[in-house]
Amino acid sequence: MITVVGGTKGGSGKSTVATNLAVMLAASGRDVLLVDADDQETSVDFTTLRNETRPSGAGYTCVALTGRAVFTEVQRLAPKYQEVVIDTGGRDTASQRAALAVADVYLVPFAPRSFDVWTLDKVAELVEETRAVNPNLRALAFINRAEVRGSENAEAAELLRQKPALEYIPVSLGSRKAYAHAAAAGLAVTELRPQDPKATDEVGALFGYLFDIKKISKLKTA
Amino acid sequence: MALTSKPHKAAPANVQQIDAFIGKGGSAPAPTHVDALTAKVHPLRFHDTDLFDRLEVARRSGGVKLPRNTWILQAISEKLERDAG
Repeated sequence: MITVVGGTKGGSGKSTVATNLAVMLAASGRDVLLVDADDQETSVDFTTLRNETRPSGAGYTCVALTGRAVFTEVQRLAPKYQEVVIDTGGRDTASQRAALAVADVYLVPFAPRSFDVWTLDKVAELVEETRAVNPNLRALAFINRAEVRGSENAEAAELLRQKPALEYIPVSLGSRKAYAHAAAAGLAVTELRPQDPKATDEVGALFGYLFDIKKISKLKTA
Repeated sequence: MALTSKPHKAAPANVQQIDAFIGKGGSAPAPTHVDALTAKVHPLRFHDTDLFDRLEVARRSGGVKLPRNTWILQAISEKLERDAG
């Protein structure tokens, strides 16, 4: 399956989601290709750190691609892997469109803030446009960096539900320091010790929803 | 059931359609690396054409074809690390 983690707003946590999913897929025994299609190359940096700090290496393969090469290279490489995760930048770029043209699933994290949900119409339009060239694309939206309290999460969820182009996933990831701490160490949040149980549970719920995989092997910290 | 209707196969989008779709996306911001502008340039001369050919074969055989400059810089870096270790 080819999963694109994207959107048209920066700072929604795309790279955090993409890298966590790649690590968790690898830990579940899948052969994984992580494609960094964002010019900031956060996923490449994360993988470099992971390769340097873990004796067993990152556990997956990571490549950086831009523009049309995302389409052509992923088409060529995807049959060699069980799962492909593509991290795109927070703009409507040729790279993101090239990823969408070859994707099975488009996963869009939205932070429950006005500037983020204001991009919802553009994302929905992009999905509709993509379906002209990739009719089987499944587009999923969920709330990332959810607030601990307040009505923003529910309000954002309601707005996501109103977009027929996107399927709302009733799983959200909280705004937790554990994600930043894990990323800084080249780890998925599930690998962080001491573990943040809430972060582990919620990212596990997202993972289970997307991939229908229950078993993730015990993950060792480097 | 002995009879089923003819399965519908999704018509593959043609290349022009995909190119047009991709082309509507913005480009990545132009690199503003100061070091790229001030990078020291040291032309390489390949007197041994076989060496250059081998380099090209190795560069093209990777999963992703790296720019020649990047490939050579990586090779230099790897040698320096090996020699230091």
